[in-house]
Amino acid sequence: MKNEDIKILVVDDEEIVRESLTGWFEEDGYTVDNAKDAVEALNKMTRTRWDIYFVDIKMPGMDGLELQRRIREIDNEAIVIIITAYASVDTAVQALKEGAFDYITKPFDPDQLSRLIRNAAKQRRLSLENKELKGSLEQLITPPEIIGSSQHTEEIKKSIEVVAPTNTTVMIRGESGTGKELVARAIHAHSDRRYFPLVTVNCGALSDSLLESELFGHEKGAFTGALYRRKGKLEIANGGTLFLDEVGTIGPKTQVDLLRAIESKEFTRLGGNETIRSDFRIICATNTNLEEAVKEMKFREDLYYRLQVYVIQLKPLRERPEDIPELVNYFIRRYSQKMNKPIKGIDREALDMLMAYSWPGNIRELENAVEAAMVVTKGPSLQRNNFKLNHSDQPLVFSSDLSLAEVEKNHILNVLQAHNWNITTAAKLLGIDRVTIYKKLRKYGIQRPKNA
Amino acid sequence: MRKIVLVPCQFEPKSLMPSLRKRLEELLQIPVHIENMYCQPELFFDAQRSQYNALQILQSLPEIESQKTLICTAVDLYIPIFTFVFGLARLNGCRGIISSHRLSPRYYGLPNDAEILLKRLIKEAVHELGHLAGLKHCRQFDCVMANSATADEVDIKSEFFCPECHSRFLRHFNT
Ligand SMILES: [Zn+2]
Ligand SMILES: [Zn+2]
Repeated sequence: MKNEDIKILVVDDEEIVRESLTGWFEEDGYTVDNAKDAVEALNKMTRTRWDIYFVDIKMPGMDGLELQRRIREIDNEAIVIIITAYASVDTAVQALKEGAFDYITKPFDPDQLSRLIRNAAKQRRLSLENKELKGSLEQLITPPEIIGSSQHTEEIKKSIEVVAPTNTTVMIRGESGTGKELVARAIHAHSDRRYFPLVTVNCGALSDSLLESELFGHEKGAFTGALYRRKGKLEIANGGTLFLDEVGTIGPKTQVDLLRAIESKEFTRLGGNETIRSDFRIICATNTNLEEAVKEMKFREDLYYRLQVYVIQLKPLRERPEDIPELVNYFIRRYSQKMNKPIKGIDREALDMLMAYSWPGNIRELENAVEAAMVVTKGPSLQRNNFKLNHSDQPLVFSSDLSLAEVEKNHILNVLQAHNWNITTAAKLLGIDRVTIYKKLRKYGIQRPKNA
Repeated sequence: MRKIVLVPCQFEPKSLMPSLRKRLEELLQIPVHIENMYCQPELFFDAQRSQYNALQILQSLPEIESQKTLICTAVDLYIPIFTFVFGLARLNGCRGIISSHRLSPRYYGLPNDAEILLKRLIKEAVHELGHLAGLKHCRQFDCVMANSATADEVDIKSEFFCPECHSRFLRHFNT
């Protein structure tokens, strides 16, 4: 961090103090501005993040102590240095108690002032670095692990290895619960950007206008409720990776702004005109048919091509049941640690049941099922009756006194449920064509459940 | 090309002026002249502080755009918010001032040493001329544009610009 990256705001009602300090700090290469009173200072704070405040303790209107409290509310880690005359040293001591970095009495000793500003800048740099470090450490503590050794999962691991060190935009596709965020974290963790933040935005959870301010940030008063200036996720992701989940839900206006920001790495906060530069890598994910959305003009084609540079397609869990044993053991280890409950493993019978199940909620559903089973089991290991799988989706139990028609009905139902109601796949497995399967569905009154 | 004009004004010891001029010309490769100009520090004397207001002295001088004017004095300088200043110059301005008062070893209770004083004066003169050329403080410890708030710190740095500051200085004077 160079001196010019440190922003100093001098707040003093005396013009000579403002001018001299501003000139002095400018010569030292800092970025400096000044304000003649607290109101002007608060206004300038809504537009810029200041690192160091020099605040005169005695000012008409709101005094330095009160201004310091306001500064703390907005940025608790900003450095406040109190300017005082010998007569008001007591108040300066009060300011120290309330968190001021130091105070300096007029007239200033040049040597003392240059030492003070050097120390303040050093402290600010350290606290900013710590913050970044802490964020990245948290991500390093739980290194994402891609579990499974099916051919598909091995291919995914290889793709991550290949694409991680590049700066390429990655599109991760797959049903919900297939571990798209995990893959994004793995890519980030294996890239050169790993010591910078991975910032996640769930686009589907936000309305279009909220998403815009979440991405680009906003200035104070940009809209009702924008009480303070706020950094956007694009800005926070500087140096790191921005993970856009459910990218298919982004509204048309934000699509345009996002495309522009991705291409130029420049944008402005809502309600502002300062150009913000940020160096971020985009990873996005979707579980919807983007191609269809493009055809229906709901998703911009240019943005689609900008995001769809390198695609990682995650298969649903039912298409790779070989991964289930490893996943189950991984979750058992994790939850026995978390719950401090020494569970050794899972019974063969229980595992067979899990492998036969269709897992519409994919890995997330499997994890939840294991966690729930861990709670109820008296085990040393998990048993079949510890699991309560979604009833409507559970394989039906055959009993011997069913008529042939009932057996056929149950079998069709089972196959359909096991393949997420994919008629084509079910027909293929049953050895009949699609027309026949539809006829039988009508005949037995089988209807697709609404939640499937 | 602009010229540099040194204006002695209650400067002591007078014998140093020619050496200062010569060394500055060698260092900066710009013509340096010694001229007399009307300058009355007494008008800006603060009896309470027993010091002279550097800002007001500078403002009392005529602004001559075609040259850089540097007052050389021996009176103790201050600006209102600082206890003292070695010198003063606005970034990109055309008027500057330096004082030998606190650069002299005698001020610190040491024997007179014209050689040390001259060295410090040269550094402070180049430094303020650097400010007049738009240069800010430099983080290279031995660059003449390093900020020095004590005489010791003046001794640490050299009388030369670092390459970066030097090219900026040249660019200013060649345009
Ligand atoms: Zn300077
Ligand atoms: Zn330099």
